[in-house]
Amino acid sequence: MRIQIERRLSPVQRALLAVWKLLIGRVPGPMLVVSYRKRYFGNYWASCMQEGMRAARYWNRGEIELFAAFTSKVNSCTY
Amino acid sequence: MTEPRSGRPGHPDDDGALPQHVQDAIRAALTRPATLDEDTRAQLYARAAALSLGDPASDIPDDLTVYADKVALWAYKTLDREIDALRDAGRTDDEIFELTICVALGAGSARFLAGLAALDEALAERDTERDGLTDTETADAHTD
Repeated sequence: MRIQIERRLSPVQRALLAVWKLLIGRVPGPMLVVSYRKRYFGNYWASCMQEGMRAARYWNRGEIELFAAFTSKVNSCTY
Repeated sequence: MTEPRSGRPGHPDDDGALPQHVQDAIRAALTRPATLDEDTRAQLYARAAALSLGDPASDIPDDLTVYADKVALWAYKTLDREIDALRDAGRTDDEIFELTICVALGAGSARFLAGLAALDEALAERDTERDGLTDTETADAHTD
């Protein structure tokens, strides 16, 4: 059995994840990882994601999402 | 001329070519208070980086080897039963989480730096070719 990240989140975090589930039917993996133990890893990784996915100068958001989805697909890792 | 970027994969203090946010994340994962000790986390990071580049890998605690190496090389093949095996060996979920993060960062940063090095090499090759062409054109112009 995988690590049960959701069980160990705060009530506020669980509520946010519930909204995600309502909106798209599941919680995206990256969202779970950055939510868990934020002071050890999540906060730092969220900054990386923000820079990588949102701060690009040459590509727009849609193009970056496409690159990420394609790379994940090639890696056999659902994004 | 394109300047090569510095950075040695597997050496968190010398990964200068990585973006600052990634360096911060690596440093936090390897040094912030956690359940796995700092030495083990550094070993996991370095081993994953070495394996990703096909270099000789240093030792890590025996019970972590199978899962750590699989995350480093074939993360998409990891199975629930491998997580269970770590739990059966007495590892907590927090330790498994930290181990996964350190290995993923080691493997990912090594591949990122290897990609940048390949890009630098290709750009340097292109610059050399361009310089060669320019020299030939100049020589032709003098001949004319």
